[in-house]
Amino acid sequence: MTSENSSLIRNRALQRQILRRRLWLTALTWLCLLLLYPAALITRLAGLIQGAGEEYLAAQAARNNILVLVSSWIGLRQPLAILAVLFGAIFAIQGFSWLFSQEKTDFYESQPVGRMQRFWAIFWNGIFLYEIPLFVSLFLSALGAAAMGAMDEILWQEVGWSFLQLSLLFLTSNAVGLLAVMLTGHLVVSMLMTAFLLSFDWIWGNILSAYASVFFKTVYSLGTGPAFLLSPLYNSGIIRRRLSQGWSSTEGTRMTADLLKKFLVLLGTPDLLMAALFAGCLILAALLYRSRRAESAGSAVLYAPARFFVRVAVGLAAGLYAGQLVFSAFSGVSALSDVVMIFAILTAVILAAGFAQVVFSFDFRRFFRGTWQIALTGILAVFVFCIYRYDLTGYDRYVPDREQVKSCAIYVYTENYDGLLGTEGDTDILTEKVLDQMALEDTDKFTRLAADAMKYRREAADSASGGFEAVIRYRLWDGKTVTRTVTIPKEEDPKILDAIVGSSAWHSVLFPENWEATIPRKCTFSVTNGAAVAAGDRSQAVGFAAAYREDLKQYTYSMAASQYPILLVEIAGGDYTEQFAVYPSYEKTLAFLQESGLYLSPVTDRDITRVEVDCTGGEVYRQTAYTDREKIRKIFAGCTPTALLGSWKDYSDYDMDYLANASVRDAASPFTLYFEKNSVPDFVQKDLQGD
Amino acid sequence: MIETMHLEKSFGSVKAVADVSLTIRDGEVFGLVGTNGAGKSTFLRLLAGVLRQDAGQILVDREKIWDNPEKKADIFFVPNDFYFFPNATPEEMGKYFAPLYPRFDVARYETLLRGFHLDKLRRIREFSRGMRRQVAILLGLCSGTKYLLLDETFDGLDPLMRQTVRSLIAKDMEDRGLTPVLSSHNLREIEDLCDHIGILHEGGILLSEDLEDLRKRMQKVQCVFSSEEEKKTILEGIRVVCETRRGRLSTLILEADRESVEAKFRAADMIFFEILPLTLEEIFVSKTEGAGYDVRKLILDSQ
Repeated sequence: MTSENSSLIRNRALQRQILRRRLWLTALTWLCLLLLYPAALITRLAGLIQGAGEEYLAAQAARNNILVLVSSWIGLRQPLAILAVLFGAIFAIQGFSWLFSQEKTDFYESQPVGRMQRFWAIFWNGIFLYEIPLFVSLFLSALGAAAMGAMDEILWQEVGWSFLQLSLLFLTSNAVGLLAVMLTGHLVVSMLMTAFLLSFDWIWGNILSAYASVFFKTVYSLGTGPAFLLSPLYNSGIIRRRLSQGWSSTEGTRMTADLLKKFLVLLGTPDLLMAALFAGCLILAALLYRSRRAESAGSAVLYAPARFFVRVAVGLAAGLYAGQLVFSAFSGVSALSDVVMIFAILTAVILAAGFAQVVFSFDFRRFFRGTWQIALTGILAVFVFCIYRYDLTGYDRYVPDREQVKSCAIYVYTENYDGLLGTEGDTDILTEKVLDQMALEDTDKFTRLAADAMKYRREAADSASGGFEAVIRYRLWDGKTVTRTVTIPKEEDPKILDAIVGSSAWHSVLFPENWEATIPRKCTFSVTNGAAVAAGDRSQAVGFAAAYREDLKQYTYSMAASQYPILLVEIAGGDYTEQFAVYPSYEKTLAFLQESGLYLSPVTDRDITRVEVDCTGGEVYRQTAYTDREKIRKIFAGCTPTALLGSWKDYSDYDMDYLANASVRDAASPFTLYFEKNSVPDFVQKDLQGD
Repeated sequence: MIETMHLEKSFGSVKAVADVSLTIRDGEVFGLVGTNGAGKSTFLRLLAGVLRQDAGQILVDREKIWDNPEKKADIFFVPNDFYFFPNATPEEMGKYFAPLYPRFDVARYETLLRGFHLDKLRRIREFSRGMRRQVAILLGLCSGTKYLLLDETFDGLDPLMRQTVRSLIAKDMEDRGLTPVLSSHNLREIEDLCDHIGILHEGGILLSEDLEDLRKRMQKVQCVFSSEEEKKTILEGIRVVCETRRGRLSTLILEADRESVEAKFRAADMIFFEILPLTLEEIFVSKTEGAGYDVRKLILDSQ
C-alpha cells in the first residue's frame, strides 16, 4: 500500500471516528435545526393560512402575511440567529475537548496521524456537521413554504443570503472557540474563555458607553449601542436591533429587492470584520495547536501573556462595572460619589483579578499571587475613571478646526421635523435621518455655534436653564464623523443661527426636493388653526408642496423665533405624519390654501365659548373654568395654541405649571394652549392657588 | 532501532528526563525499570511521540518521531491508563485501530479475544481493570507494529495472563521481529523476558546494558572473611557496589567478572565463599542505593 493510499485511508477512518464521537452532537444539531426551521415554519404557516380564512382576509393581504412570516422566520430577520453562534462554540469545544485529558492525549497523539491532519479533520468535520443540516433545514423550509404558496423569487434569494449569514456566524464563533480551547487546558476554563472572547468587546463597550453617559455632557447616543462589533454574539442581532431601533416599517414588511439590498448593505461591513476575525482566530488556533504540548492537559490558561491579559481585562471590566453600579445610588457627580466609586472600583478589581488567578491555578491560596498585576489593573481602572470623570481627552470640549470639516449637520429636537420621509415612504430614525441628509457648508458659523453650544451644555446647571437641545455632526475630510449633543443657548448670536437655519441645506431637510414623490398613495391632507380642522386630499398635497417650497426660502431663525404660525398643515398616511407650519408671511401657501378652500382664519378670543385652566404646579392639582368674555379675552391674550408653537420656541418661554383648554363654537373638541411666561392673569392665579 | 541522544524533558521546575542517551536495538526486549517518579512513563511518551522533548533527539530507524505519522505507524503505545471510547466494545476498538495501522491483524485480534475469554461485543467499561489491560495489550500486539511500548506491562494481570502475555510477546518477536519496550516495577517478570535493561532514577539513566553482559560484570558473593585484612586484600581492585552483613556472613555485589572474582577468592583460601545468581532486583537496588535512593537509611533515621 502506498503512503498516499494509507494517508487517504487514515483520513477516511479519521472522519468516521470523529463522526462516531460526535453522534450526540450531530443528532442534537439535526433535531434543533429541523424543529427550528421547517417544522416551526410550516406549523406557523398552516396556522396563519387557516386564520386568514377564518378572518376573511383579502387574498393579497393573506399572501402578504405569509410572505412576511417566511422572511421573518428563515430570512435575514430571523430571531434566533444567535443559535448559530452557540453551535459554533459548542462544536469547537467539543471537537477538541480531548486535549484537556492526559489519558485521551496519550491515546490520540500516539496514533499515526499528523497533528495538523487531525486539527483540520476535526475542524472540517464540525463545519460539515453543522452546514449540512442547516442547508437541508433551510431548503426544506423554503420548499414547504413554496408548496403552501408562501415563497417568491426574492424570498429564495433572501433564504440563500440567510444561509450564508448563519454560516459566517457559525464559522466565526467556531474559530473563536478554537482559539479559546488552544489557550486553555480545562473544559470549564475553555468555556469561560470562549464566553470571554465572544463578549468582551460588547461588555467593554457597554461599560465605556455607560461612563460616557454619566460623565460626558455632550455624549450622543441613540441608546442602543453600536451597529456592530467584532463579537459574532453581538452581530447575530444586527438586523433585529435595527428593527427595534426604528426600522419599524420593515418589521412587518414583505421582503423586496430594495429592502434585501438594504439589509445586505447593513451587514456588509460587520460581515467583513467577522470574516477577518474568523481567519485570524483560525490561523492563530492552528499555530497554537501545532506547538501545543501534551502536558498542557489539565492546566487552566496555558500562556503567561494570555493569563496576564485575561486577568487585567476581567479585573478592569469588573472594577469599572462596580463603579458604575455604585454611581447609580447617587443623584449626581460629587466628591463623595468620586470617593465611593473609586473604592468600589478597587475592591472589585482585587476580587475579580484574584478570582481569575484562583481559576488559573485551581488554588484559592493563589488569590493574591502576582500582586503587581492586581495593582496595575487597579491603576488602569482608576485611570479610565479619571479619563471620564475629568474629561482628560477633551471630549466635551472638542470642536474640530474649520479646515478639517467638510460639512456639518444639526438636528434640533424642538424643530418641527416630525416624520421626515425617506425614499419610498420609509420612515427611519429621525435624528439620524436629518444628520445624514443635511450638509451645511458654512463651517465657520457652524463651528462657532458648536463651540458656544458645547460650552453652554457643559456649564449649564440643568435642563431648566433653557436653550435648544440639539445634536451636531461634523463630517471631516479624512472620512471620520464626530457627533455631539449640545444645547444652543437662547442668547446665541441670531446672525449665526440665521445663516444656518436660513441655508438651503437646512431647508432641503425640512422639505426635500423629492418630497412629492414620497407622498403615500393613501393619505389625508388637513389644515388646522389650532382649533378647527379643514380636510383635503392627496391632490392638494402636491399643490401645497410647490407653494410651500417657495415660501420656505424666507424661513430663518429670527423669523421663526419671533413669530407664531397661523396654520398647521398635516399630511398623514400609513405609519407617518408630517406637519408644516404656515407663517403669516407665507403668501404663496396661504393663497393656495384659500384657493383650495382649506384656509382657516386664525382663532380669536371671540370664537372661544369656554376656557378651562389646569394648574399642575404646587402640591395639589387644581382646575377652574371661565365663560366670562373679558376673562376669556385676557386669558387668550397671554396664550398660544400648543399646535401652533412653531419652531425655535423654548419651553422656558412658557409657564408650564398652567395649561388652558379652550372650547370653540361648533368644534367637536377643545384645543389646548400654553401660557407664555408671566402671562397668567392674576385672577387665574388667585382662583387656582386658593387662599 | 530507537536511539535517544541527550534527551531532556521538564515539567515546570521538575526535570522528568535528564540527559538520557540509549539505544534500543531491533529484535531485543528492552526493559525499562526505575524508581517511583524516575521518568519511565515520560520517557515512553517521548518515544511514542506524545511528548516533545525539550532538548536532545529521538530517532526511530534514523527518523525523528515527533509529528511523523509514517514512523508512528511503526509504534504502538500502551500507557498505564489506556483510553477506550465510552460505550466501546473490544470489537469497535479493533475496528478503530485497523485503518490506522496498516498491518493490524483483525482475525488474530478476534482469535486472541476469544482465547482470553473477552467478549468482543461487551462494553469495555464493564470490564475489570485487568480485563481492560488485556484488551489494550492485545490491541498493541495485533497492530502489527515494529515497536510496542508497554507502560507498567503486567499491572493488573493475573499470573496466568502474565505468562500468556510474555509468551505472546516472545512469539511476535520470533515471528515478525517485534521490538518491545517494557516498563514495569515487577522486576521478576521483566528479568525473564528482557535482553536489555535500562534503569532510570530521578530522570537520569543509571544504567543501560544487556542483561547478560550485566550479569557477567557484576557478581553476587556470599562469604565469610576471617579478618578485615583478608577482606581488604581480596577486594583490592574490585568495586564493591553493595555489601550487607549478617553476623560474619557478608553478601557482596561486586563489579567484576566471575573469573577474576573466583580467582581472587580462591587465592585467599577463605573459610567460605559462594558466587550466587544475581537477580535484576538486586542489581536495581544496588544501583539505586548507590545513587542515594536508600530506603533502609530512611527507615533507620526515622526510628
